[in-house]
Amino acid sequence: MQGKSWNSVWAVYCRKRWLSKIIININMKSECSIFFHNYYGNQDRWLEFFLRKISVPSNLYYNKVDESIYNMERQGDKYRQKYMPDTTNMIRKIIYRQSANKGKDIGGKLILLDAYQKLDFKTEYGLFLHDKKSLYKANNTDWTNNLLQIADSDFCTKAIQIFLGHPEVGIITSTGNIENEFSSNLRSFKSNNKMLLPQLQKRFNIFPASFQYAAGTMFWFRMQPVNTFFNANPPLQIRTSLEIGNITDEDMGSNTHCWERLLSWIITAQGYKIKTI
Amino acid sequence: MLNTIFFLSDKPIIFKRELQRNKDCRIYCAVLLDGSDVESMEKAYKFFSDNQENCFLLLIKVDSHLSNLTLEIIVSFFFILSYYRSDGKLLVTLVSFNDPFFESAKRRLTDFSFAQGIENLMINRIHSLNKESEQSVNSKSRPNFIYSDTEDLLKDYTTILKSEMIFGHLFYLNNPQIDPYRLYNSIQEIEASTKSEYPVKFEIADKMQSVLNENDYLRNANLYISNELYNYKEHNLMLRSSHEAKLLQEYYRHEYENLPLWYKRFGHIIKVITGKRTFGSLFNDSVKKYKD
Repeated sequence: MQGKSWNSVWAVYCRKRWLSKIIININMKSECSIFFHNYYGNQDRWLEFFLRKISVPSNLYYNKVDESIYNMERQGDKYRQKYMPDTTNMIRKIIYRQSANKGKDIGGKLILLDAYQKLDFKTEYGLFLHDKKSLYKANNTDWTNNLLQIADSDFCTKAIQIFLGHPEVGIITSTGNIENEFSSNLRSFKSNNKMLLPQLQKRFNIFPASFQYAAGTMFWFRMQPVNTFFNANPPLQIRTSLEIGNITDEDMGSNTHCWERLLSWIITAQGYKIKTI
Repeated sequence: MLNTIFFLSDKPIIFKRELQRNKDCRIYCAVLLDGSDVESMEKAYKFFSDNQENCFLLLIKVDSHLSNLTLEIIVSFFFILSYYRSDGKLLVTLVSFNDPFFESAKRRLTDFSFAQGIENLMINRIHSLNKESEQSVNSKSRPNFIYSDTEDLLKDYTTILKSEMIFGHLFYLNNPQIDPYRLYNSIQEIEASTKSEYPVKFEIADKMQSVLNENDYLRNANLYISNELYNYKEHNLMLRSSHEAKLLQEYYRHEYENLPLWYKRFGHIIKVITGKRTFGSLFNDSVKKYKD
């Protein structure tokens, strides 16, 4: 784990929200990389969302699915010119990508992680987000709102504070979004992915102490363990195994849903813990 | 512009903003990278990620078998928003004189792209960067035109405009000294003068281009709508079968519906007392029931 920086010493010492906010803001370097995957369009709305909400200097990695009826806007990519990042707002850079609908949001996030690895804009922390609409779930709106609150400015500040003060924390998400894949009654994995998961764990050597994971794959995380993993396992190679289209794991397991769990486990397997706010 | 011109360069170049933002202008950068030079590829990747307005195409020199790493870097370029697409299809040009190396590179690129969900990759081949080695302007198949001189290019461009198929051709210009802005103006002049000579032909070409574009758009829309309808159908099936909506319904029935009526009515009075329901709504259905 990384040693405490000057910033972290201050944050732990002071434990004042307003003070740590100032400390974060005076540091001109981007602290966070946001990895956002878009399938359902509304680019304007999402870019506004990030410019309005994010309170930590960040680089936004933005992937849109081009094979989506929601992304066939005839006005083209005008939104990109409308929302130019600069040093006056917290989004310092926007790196756009587009892809086929492979591996749902996980596939998109792997493309963005590939871009992150190849570019020079390294940051301490990362944030996974996507425009989630689990239409097959009865409580989909509540769930999405609960997941998206992790981008609220208060949540951002709190998350950075926790990372600064608690080096053992590797993942932060909102309360209620942590699930455990392991069933103590069954003494095995409980989802339909139980056959695939052990194979992938073995292949990629991912053995966490606990099988908790951030459901919905929207969470704050430390970049260092993620970098360590993806330096050895290129994201695009992993992406080749993901399924095409908007698949679910309601009837049978999928590599895509396995990686929903593994993206948390690659961090916790390196000794980090999950915290909810 | 009716045809596309690529400026060949071994380093990524950036055009003037007027050219980048001009929708009529189809002059783009084609960066020539050595298939075995990882460092140059990484530099070019960073450049185009930083200059996202700059439409570009990759030309990969293939003198040996492509390594896994270079293959992966080449495919990474395809996700960049400003990568060149011809009729919605990604295009990459391989420069190779060697048939086995070309075939191997073509197959591996196609396979790896397909594994990334890219089903419409077009792989173009140029044997060398000399014009003589490629097909002639009058060839019926779509040739690769490579020029080092503006005059030659403009001459052939004019010939094309007088031929049967006047749009959709790709020209490569291998001379960094030429000013793309001046070239664009010359092309505009040529197109304008040929148009005055053959107005009907240009009108038909213009209509044909819009019809083809519209056709592409509608074909894609049709495919994506079919996919989305399938998704909705599946989601509905899940919701109706053994799923959360059913679980919620059962929970409601067991926890609330089974209670005696007097108990439920008493519950509503408690709601009014605790401020969760309006008093008026107990007697009148048209009164607002809940405060939030």
